[in-house]
Amino acid sequence: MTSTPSDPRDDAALVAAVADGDRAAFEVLYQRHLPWLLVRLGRRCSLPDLVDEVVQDTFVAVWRSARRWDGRGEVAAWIWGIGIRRLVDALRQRPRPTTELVEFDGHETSAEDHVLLGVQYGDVGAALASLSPELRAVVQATVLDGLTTREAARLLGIPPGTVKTRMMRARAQLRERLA
Amino acid sequence: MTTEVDMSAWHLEPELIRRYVAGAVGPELAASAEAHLMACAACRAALASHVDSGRAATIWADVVDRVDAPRPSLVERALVRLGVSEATARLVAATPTLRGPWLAAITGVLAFAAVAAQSDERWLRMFLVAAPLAPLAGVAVAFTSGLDPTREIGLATPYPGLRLLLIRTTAVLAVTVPVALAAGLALPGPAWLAAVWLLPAAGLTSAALALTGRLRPVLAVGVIAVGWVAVTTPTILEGKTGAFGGGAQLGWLGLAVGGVLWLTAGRHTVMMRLGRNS
Amino acid sequence: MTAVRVVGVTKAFGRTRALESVDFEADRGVTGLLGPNGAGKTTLLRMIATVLAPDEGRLWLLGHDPARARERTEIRHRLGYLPQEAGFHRGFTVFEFVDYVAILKSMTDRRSRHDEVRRVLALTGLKSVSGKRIRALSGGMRRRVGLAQALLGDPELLVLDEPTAGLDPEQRLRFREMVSQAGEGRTVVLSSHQTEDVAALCTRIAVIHQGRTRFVGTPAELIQQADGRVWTDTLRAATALAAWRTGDGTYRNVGQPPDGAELVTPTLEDAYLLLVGGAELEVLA
Repeated sequence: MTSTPSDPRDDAALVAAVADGDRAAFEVLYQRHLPWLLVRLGRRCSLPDLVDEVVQDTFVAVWRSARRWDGRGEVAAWIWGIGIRRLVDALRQRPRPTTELVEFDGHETSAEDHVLLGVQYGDVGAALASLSPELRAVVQATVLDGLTTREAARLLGIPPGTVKTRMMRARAQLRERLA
Repeated sequence: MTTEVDMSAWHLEPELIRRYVAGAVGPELAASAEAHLMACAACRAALASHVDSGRAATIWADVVDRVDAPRPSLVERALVRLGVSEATARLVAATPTLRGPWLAAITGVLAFAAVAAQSDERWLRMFLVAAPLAPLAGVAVAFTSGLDPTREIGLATPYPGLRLLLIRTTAVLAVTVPVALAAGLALPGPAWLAAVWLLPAAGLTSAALALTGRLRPVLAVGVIAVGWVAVTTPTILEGKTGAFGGGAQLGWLGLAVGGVLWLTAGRHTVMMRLGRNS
Repeated sequence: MTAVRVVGVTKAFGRTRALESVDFEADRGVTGLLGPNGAGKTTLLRMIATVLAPDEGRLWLLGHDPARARERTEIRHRLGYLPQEAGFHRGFTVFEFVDYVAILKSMTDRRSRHDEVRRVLALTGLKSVSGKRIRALSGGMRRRVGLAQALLGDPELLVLDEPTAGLDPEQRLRFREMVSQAGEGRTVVLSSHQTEDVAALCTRIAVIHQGRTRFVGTPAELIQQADGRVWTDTLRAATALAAWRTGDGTYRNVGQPPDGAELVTPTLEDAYLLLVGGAELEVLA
C-alpha cells in the first residue's frame, strides 16, 4: 500500500469521487477508515480471520455502493452500518464459538475517563455502567451499533425474544436510575 | 444518548486510545470512545499507528483485487463452472455479437418466419432455408472490424488467431442456435422439422470458417450464404426437400468435420488473413 | 543486432503503391517516421507491428522474420502496438479493457495479469480512473489507455502510430514525457506529422513521402539540409516552396532564397517542408 500525502478532500467528497470510479480516492478512504473499523469490529468478534474477511467485504461494498450513499450524516457511520451488518451475516453462517464481547478485567476508571463518560453520555454513562453485562450488551448492540432486534440477536447469539425482554429490563433500570 | 456538549473541543487521550485498541478498557468507556470516533476524523487518524500495517496491507491487496477486477458476467461464471478457463470465458463474453440489438434482430426475423409458417406452407420451407443464415450472420458480425473496435490491437497480439476464431464462433452458435430452435418449435408439423436445419447450418458455418483462409470473414460468409440461398430456394419452393433429407444430413456432417480439419491444418494462414485488409 | 530492419519493402493496395522499396532501421531509443498523411507511415508501422505483410522485401524484428508464423508469435510476445484508430469495446472500464488486451497477450494467470495491468496503469497515471468507463474519458486520457495496453508485458519494441494526433498542446506535452520515459531501454518507433513532437522525442528520423524514404538520420542532420534555405521577408516570396505568416507579421519562406535575402536559422519543420515541398502541401501555422 503506497502512503499518500494527506488528501485535502473531506470524507463526503471522497465518497462522491469513489462513486465516480476514482480508485485513488478509494485508497484514501481506506487509509482513513480501516483502523477504527478493524478495532471496533474486533471488539465484537474475537476471530481475527473472520474480522479481516468482513472488513474486506465492507470496503468492497463501499466501492460498489458509493453511489447509493444519501450524503447525510457521517461517512464513518455509513461504513459502520455496512460493516456491522456484514459481521452479523458472517456470524450467522459460522458455527458459534465464543465470540462474546472482550471481557474486561476490572481496571479502575480514572478521573479523565469519568470526564469522557460524562461528556459523551452524562449521567446516562454512569447509569449504563450499573447495568449487568448482558443488559449492557443488548443496549450497545441496538442503541450504539444501530442494529435491529433480529440482528442484535444474531450478533449476541441469543433469541430475539430474549433481546426484547432484556431491552425492556434495561430501559426500566435506566429510567429508575435517572429519575 | 449523546449530550448537548460541544464535542469538537476535546479528543481522546493517547493513553486511552492505546488501551482501547488493546481491549483493556471497560464496555461503557469503549462505547464512549467509539461514539466519539464516529464523529472525529483526527482521533480516527490517531488510531492508525496502532493497527498492524502488514495486516492493513494484506486486506487492501484483497480489496483491490476484487474491486479492480471486472465482475464476471453471468455468462462467464456459467462457463467457468463448466470448466472453461477464466481468461477464455472473458474472451467469449467480449464477443461483439453478444449484444442486445443484434440478438433482437435475429429473434425478430426468425419469429416472423415461424409465425408466417403457420399460415403458409411455403414460409415453412423458407424458414428452413433462413435458419442456417442466423449463425452465419453471427460469424460475419463477430469479425466485422466496425463492430470489433479492438481488432487492430488484437492482430498484433500473440493469441492464436484460430483459437479466437473458434471461441467467437462457438459463442455465436451458442446464442443463435437456441433462438432459432425455439422459433422452429413454433412451426406447424412434426417436431423434428425444428432441428432438420441444424446439420446444414453446421456444415455451412464450417465451410465459411474454412474459407476465411482465403477470403475475409465477411466475404467468406457472404459467398456461402448466397450460394446456399441460390441453390436451395428454387428447389425447396417446389417442395423438394432433398437438401434436408437423410443422406444429405450425413453430407452436411461430413462438411462440418472437414471444414474444421481444413482450418486446423491451415491455422497459420488464418492468423495472417485476418489482418490482410488495409 | 538491430532491433528493427526493413529492407526493400514494397506494398500496393489495388492500384495505389503505398510503399516503394523502403529501407528502414531502428534501434534503442525513439525513432520517428515523419511524413504527410497518406505517405505510407501507417503501412510501414503495421508491418513492423506484424499486422501486415509486404508484397516484396523483408523485415527483421528483434532478430526474427515475421514472415514465419512461429517467429511472428515470438515477436508479438515482445511487442506493443498503439494503432492510429485505437478502438475500445463500449462499456468497458479502463481496467477491463487493459485486462482484455492482457488476455490476448496470453497472460493466463489472473493474479499476475491483474498485477501487470495495475503496473501499466500506474505508469501512465491512470490509477484514479481505472474504474471509469472509457467512453466517459477525454481524448487525451483515452490515448493514455492506448499507451498503457501497449506497455503490457514490458515489450522490447513499441510501435506508436500518430500517438499525439488530435491532442491539445498540454496533453501532447504530457504524452511526450510518457513516450520519452517509455523509450528508455526500449526500441520505440513512432509516426507523426507534427515536427515539434518528432524534434522533441526522436534520436533518429526517417522522412517518408509518397511511399519512399527521403531522408534517414539524426534531427541535426535533417536540419542541416535546410541551411541557407530559410529566410524572412515582408511578403510571400515567389521562389519559396512554402511560406507562412509568423506571429510578428513577417513571412517565413523556405526554398531557394533570392540574393540578399535575410537568412534565418532553420528548424526541423523547415527542413521537413523543404524535403517534402510541393504545391499541394499543407501550410502549417
